[in-house]
Amino acid sequence: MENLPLGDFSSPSTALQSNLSVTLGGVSKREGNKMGLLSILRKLKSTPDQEVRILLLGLDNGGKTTLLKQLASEDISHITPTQGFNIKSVQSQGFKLNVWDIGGQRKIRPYWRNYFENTDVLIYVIDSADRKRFEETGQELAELLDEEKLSGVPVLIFANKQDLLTAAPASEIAEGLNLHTIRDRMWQIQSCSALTGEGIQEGMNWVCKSVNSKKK
Amino acid sequence: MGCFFSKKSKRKSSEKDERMPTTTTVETTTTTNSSVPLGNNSEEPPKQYSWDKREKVDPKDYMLSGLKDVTVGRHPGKLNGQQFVIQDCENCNIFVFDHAATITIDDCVNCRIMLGPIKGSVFFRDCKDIKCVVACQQFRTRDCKKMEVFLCCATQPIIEASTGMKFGCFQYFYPDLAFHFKDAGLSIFNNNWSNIHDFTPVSGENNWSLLPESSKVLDFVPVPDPESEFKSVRISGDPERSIVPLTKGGRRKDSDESCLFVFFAGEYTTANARKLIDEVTAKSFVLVQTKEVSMRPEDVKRVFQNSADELVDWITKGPVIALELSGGGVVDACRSIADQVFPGTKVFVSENKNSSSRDVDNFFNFADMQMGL
Repeated sequence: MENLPLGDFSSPSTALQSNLSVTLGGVSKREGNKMGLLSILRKLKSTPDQEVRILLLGLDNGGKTTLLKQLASEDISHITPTQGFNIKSVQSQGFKLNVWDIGGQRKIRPYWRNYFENTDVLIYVIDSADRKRFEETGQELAELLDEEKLSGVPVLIFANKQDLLTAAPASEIAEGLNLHTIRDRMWQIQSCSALTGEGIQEGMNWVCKSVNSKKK
Repeated sequence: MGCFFSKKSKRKSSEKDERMPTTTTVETTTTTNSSVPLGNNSEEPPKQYSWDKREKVDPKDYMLSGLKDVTVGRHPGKLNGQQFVIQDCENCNIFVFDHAATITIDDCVNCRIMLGPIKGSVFFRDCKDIKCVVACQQFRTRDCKKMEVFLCCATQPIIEASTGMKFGCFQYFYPDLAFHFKDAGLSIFNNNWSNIHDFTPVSGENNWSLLPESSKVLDFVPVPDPESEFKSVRISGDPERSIVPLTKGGRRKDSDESCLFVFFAGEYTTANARKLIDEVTAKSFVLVQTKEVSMRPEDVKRVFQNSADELVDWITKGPVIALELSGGGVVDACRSIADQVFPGTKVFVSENKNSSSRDVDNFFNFADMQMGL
């Protein structure tokens, strides 16, 4: 494995090549969008901390960036494979929400650990219609849940791409991944389609709930 | 956390057996298994979504698996925007003459493959000796060897752990292909076929290169056998009939004079752009690159600078189609074509060869930024 780039990965500027998109809170046309980042931030304001950090991981081609753009109410018809990472930030009245979407190619998964620190919730995205890679994604998730720096961090598993024909239902994925054996943290699996938006709001409601209860 | 899917289970059976069963599991699962917990801190019952309510289909109808020495695929209208899966095929000629949501191609060897426009991603894994024609939003490979790809890709293609990869510009025609591009939401003018990102570059070697410019698609992916089920599909590999215009892409020579030509949205924008391409190529100028992209008023100022004021109203009706042409005398030729062939049409053409390369840079840098984020 090559030398990892040095630097503090808790701030965007020193990390891998990135697409940075910062949105400031306040008056926003997205307020009407129930699952939008700003509305998520508002639901999180019961936390005493000023900053909430969400980490979006999963195999390449899983739909992480589509999910991120959907949350930010942006165009999802022209998304490019992520080479480094994408970040979306919203701020409102002193509170800040950062969502980090990290590239999932096999070659760059070793860099995931540079983003673990201070994560409040992990969102793991699975392509439910790519059965050939169920074993691989199960393996990566298992390794993440073994990571010291992610211990106790609530995990939401999005069983994405439910709009596709061969998509396995969330229950089948939950069973295959043995999710019920997770004892050391809060977890939830949510079926969704990042493309159509279905199921996203339910997943993000759980995310807010789990962050709020952890930070009490 | 143990994992049913994980390799850690010590069964000695072959990897194929350890793979999740494909068709049978989906066929028997008609409702969500309510005894499987979906979380450990939620009391809410799972909702019903559109995928729970839709009519169940046989996944086998959307898959080609374990085939050898055959010509096979889908006719127009038979896939209709659904997912398609191709796996474990050897020495096959595969034709998907329809638009799809996404296609994965696994463990195929020595195949010739034509894939109609794909709305999402195309992902080749563990494939070898493939010649293909593909149009998609995302192009991905992993662990592939020796592929020759005639590509139309809306975003930057990526390869990983792959070698001997060669790329050329998409060239193909069949009667419904233009409709399939529309159905897949792909623009024939957004084609990043020649700038590949390699996630595993090797110093001193190139895992990918461009096909010779003279490469003819039907030499790589021949038309279906006249005895096959596809004999009725009228295919052409003639570059001038290609639904996607042939662009020089990465093969450009920077020393040539260039010209920016932009069509603003109107009723015949696509047809006009094609007409321009015919006119300039007949005069032996070269089409370097094209883009179809929406512009906002602030973009107009930045891109067109001096001419901005009059153009600002023209961008509100829809995306613009921009073309970069090159060759000695191309600016004069384009200006005269604009006057003679497109007298009433809303266009922008570079003023002279001194400002034209800046026009080109301004526009395509803007377009790359817009589409890369």
